[in-house]
Amino acid sequence: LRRIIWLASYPKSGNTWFRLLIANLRAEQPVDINDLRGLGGIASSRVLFDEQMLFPAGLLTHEECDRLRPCIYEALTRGTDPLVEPGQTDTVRFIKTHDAWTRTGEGKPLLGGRDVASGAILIVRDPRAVAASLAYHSHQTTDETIAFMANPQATFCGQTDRQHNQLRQQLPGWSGYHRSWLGQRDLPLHLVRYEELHADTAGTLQRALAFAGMAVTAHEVAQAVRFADFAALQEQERAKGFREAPPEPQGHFFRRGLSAGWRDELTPEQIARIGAEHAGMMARLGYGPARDTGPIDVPALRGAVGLGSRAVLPASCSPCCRPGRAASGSSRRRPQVWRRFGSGWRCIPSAGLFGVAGCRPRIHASRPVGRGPRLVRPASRGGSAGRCARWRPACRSARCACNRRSPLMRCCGGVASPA
Amino acid sequence: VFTYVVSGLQVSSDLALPGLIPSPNPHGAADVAIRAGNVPPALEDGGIRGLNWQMAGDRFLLTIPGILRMLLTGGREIRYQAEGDAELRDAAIFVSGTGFGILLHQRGRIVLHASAVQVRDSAVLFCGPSGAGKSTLAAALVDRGHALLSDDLCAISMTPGGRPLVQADGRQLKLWDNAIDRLALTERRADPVRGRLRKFYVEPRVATAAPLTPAAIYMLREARPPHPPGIVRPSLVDGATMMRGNAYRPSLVRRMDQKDLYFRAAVAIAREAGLFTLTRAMNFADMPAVIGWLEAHWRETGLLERAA
Repeated sequence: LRRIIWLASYPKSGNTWFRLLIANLRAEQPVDINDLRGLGGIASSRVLFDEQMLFPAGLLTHEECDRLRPCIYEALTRGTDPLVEPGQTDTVRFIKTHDAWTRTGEGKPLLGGRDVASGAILIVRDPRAVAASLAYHSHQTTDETIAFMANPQATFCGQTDRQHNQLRQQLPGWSGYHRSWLGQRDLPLHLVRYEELHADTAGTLQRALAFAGMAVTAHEVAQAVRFADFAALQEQERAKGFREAPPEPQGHFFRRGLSAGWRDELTPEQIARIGAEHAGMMARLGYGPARDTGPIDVPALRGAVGLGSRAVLPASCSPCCRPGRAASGSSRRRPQVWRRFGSGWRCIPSAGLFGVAGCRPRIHASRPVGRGPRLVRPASRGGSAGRCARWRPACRSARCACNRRSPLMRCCGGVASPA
Repeated sequence: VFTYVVSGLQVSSDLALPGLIPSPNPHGAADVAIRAGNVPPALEDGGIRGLNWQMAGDRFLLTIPGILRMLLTGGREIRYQAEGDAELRDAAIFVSGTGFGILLHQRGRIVLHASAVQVRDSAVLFCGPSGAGKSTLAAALVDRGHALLSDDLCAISMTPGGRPLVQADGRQLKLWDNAIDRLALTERRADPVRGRLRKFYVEPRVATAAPLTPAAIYMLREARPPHPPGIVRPSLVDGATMMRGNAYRPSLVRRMDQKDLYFRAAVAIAREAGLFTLTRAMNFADMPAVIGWLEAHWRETGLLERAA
């Protein structure tokens, strides 16, 4: 039996780069960007549906098709996968998807539940960078793209007067998309930020693979980072083109690869609009609010969510922070600390990263401390003894103004992180 | 009872199957009978089981969930039963398309996922999976005066002398609204393929029911790196592999042990005609250019001079 790990992302959030990193782990030379057959393809593949069902999805409405999609993925795990050559033995199969986490009319998850996939890696990227990139790739104006990203009815391949190359994918807005994945309780989820992948490619990749239950050596990770280095990918695309590039002369897929390239591509009005439309989700995912145009301090971000370092927040990010009150130049700082509350851990103060819109966390410094706390997941919360022994600490303080669950506070899926 | 000629086979059916060629000889003996009846949800004697299908001996059971169940026996009979309260009229396309395609596989025919038009006195085929642009390209060529031979499904039989022959299959094209609009075929639009789809039967300006020798088989590809646009003749082995990949259901070729059959047919076709890849941008604006390439290719290969 093969385990599926969904590589879920809103479009233009780094999914392809992440897949190229995986493809290069055990390659003898840099993998041809146009030959990713070894990877698991995309969940919305029309060929996958037609070859499994033996009748064309094109003769069904989008809704009829959605009703059957869970079975397609169930069949993949039973080894009746028509797209996998016999002899392919990797036990983890990564499958890309841009589908929001939705349920069919019968209440089944569209992508199947826990018996299909053992987890999902959600790759997120600053929506302002997504807007700039998506506009370029979809041949739309930035304003049209920003409207698309705010439309709860938006889809890919969702028209009814033609047959698209893929099955319909629901993309209920940038915020709605992430809400759907972060809110689902069917699968363990691991969050990867594009920005983090940039700042620390090897570490971020290694943590994601550990979550996926794929044992890799440091050498393999280092090689993948080298082979799928952004500049190397750009060079490959320059030399021979990339099949996923926008169909336009000189249209490039690997465009800038910057975490913050949007700053010179969006107008202040556009930045403000995105900030206003997605304030809640941006804050939840750790992206600064609209007015915050300072660079994101990634190591400090990681520290703030308990990934191995302790962040020091300015006083203005304490729970007293209210919407609209930007951080002042106050020099009074106090450290963010984790405290045990009953059977769980809480961070105090914590409005910094997951705070309300308008709060402007400026993370001044970070210093490493030990690993996050280890907890046994209680059976009452769906854990099974012996499977999972690690929660990430979360921001759930009653006194914290944001009072949000951290998206990173997820079960690690029972896979021991590298000690 | 309706009678049709499909891929050279006389078909009798108690279900109206739009898009097929009515038989000129309605009282002839039927090669294939299509009739309503009880279809079990599963075959008892195991066999190979797919997600919604089962193959045991000479029987093939296929379920279109919520719409229809079909039992295909020995390439001679299709028995169908609606699933739940589904409307049979809405299910006809699954019988005439998918059902008949698998039945042709059962009969050991070379059945390609292709649309075909007549060029002078030969057949030219365009292969590709669902969505590759077969019907749209065929429609554009019909508009240029080339008679339609078949749409979506193309059966090739071998003459006793070992020469391939393409049997006419469809009387109508099946096109999406967008293509009908872009090709200015609104006046020729007939009924929808299914009540709830914006895909319609389209009456071709010219069609033929005569079997023809294939002169060229083009495998359609979208122009994306590393494949530059143009027409290329692959090596014989590559061409044969590609042709098998363009069988109506490639996985059935494998499961029915027909790889060898397809390889031999590909060799015969490559000798008799030519196997090519046609790589082009998939948009309507480039359609005239693509037709230009094809006509130039036909002049080059002497196809246009081969007129009787």
